[in-house]
Amino acid sequence: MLLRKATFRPMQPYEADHTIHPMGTRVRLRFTLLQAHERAPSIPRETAATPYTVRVNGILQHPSCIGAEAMVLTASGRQVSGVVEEIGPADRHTFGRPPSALVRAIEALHALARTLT
Amino acid sequence: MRRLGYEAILERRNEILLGATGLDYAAFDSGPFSFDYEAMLSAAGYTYEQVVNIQNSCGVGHTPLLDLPNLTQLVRRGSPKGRGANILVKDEAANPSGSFKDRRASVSAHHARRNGYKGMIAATSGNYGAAVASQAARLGLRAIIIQEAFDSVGRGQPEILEKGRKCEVLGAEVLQTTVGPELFYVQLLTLEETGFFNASLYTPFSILGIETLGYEIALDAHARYGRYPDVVLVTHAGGGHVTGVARGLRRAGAKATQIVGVSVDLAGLHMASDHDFNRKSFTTGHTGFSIPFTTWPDRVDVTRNAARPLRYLDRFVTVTQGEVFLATEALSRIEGLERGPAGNTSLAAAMVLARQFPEEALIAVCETEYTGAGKSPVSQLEFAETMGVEVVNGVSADNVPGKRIAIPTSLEAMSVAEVDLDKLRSSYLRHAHDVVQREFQSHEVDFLAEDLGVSLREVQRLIEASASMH
Repeated sequence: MLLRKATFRPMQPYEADHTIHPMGTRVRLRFTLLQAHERAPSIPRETAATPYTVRVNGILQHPSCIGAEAMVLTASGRQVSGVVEEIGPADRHTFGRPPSALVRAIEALHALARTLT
Repeated sequence: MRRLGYEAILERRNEILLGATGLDYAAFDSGPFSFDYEAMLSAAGYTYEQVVNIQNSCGVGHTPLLDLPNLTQLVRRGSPKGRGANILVKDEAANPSGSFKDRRASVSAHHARRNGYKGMIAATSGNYGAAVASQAARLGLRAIIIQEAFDSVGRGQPEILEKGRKCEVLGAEVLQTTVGPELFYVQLLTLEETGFFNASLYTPFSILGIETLGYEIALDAHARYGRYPDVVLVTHAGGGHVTGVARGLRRAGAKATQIVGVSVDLAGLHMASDHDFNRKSFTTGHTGFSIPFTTWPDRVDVTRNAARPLRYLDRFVTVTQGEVFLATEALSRIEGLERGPAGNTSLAAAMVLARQFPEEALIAVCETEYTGAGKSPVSQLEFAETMGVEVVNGVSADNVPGKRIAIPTSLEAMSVAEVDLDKLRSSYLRHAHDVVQREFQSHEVDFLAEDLGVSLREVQRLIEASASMH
């Protein structure tokens, strides 16, 4: 078991939601693996000034809430502990909004291509 | 109780890696840096035919080699008369997890299961993680993917987030870390804890798995055009892609085919910088990997790297982020193939280099990759703008990695920059000299000639030139 004390201090306050979620809820945990002073040598100063943290999703092994220390069962069958960062973690990356420079470029190339067919 | 701190784990590196791959790399060593490369590959225990059988059993490989007639026409329009090679692309997105990385993962997964490992672990920015997860799922193995994903305030680049999502969907546990080389520490820690197989990108299993890609390109092109490709463009990062494809081409008999490595130019960005991390729009196939891995391959998560790109590279060029984004959009709009940007790094170079070759020549691009939200150029560029990166129209020289992405509005505005292979060889020699701290012995010079892809006379010249600079 990779059990780590949850020493992470959130950079920004967690949502003010202390709702207790039941065992079996899928959550995202965050834990600090290396404090700033424990980090690898020869890394850039601004990187060395920050702790090395890890996020992982898993299934709560007991009732818990955002900001609390908890243990999860991960997809590989390990038990990992850390601070609950998100309940029901979502994938929020999107296709985005096309920047005008990209639109101009492909429109110009496509217009030229049409003249060849 | 075993100590789990950073230094303690790094001290146990060799012991952990030996247990996690089953390969005793020391058996091939002939000196501090020299070793018997072919013996190491053979010791993996798989013939080419066995690799093909493994991949056939799990739906990997035999992807279509597609003509790109519209892009080829577009290139010819801007080329001198009689110039403009046929551009072909191997549609590797058709593999089970959507990239050529399935070829690498398939052999590792087979080997892991055959040797009784319960699971696999890989440290990777993405597509390879999805491949390991996919192959593990198919064989009933567990998978842990370790991914450098967030900066210190928790921002993640959309391409990385997409690849993390994919790994999870395919059943893997994904450990997403903040920025730093401690990724290797997490890998060692997790390998020791679980006893899983180290599905490194750089084992012989991984390289043998890619040979089928080069082999198929050679045979497919020959079957259709009656000739091998004149040039094969290989997106170059850690060196495995170049190594495996080149070996496969040679195995098929395409010995005259020129191997050209292509990387996205990210000069000036520090790969371990928390600040720079989210100011790049490419997480692989870029110079942040390819330059250091070419100049010293053994900086990886195995004792000896089976990816040795200088043995095989005939030429090495870079393209810009903006050019690859345009190539990606062009492949969608003009050829009807929506694919991911990283796989199109070589396509961007093909759109430039094809002009230098006659119309009957064949230029094969090694790969496509799957795409989706997060991977699309639109998503990447929108994120870049939120990080303060300017997105404009312009030529290659207008690009400043981390500050400005210039997207060309015509093929004529695209170009490639040549990387001087001799400079990379000299850098390699300086690393080797730092390791031994003495003159090279005769057998080491022989190894250097092989590993740098040059003759004995040429390596002597490079050694003398390097010594005179000290």
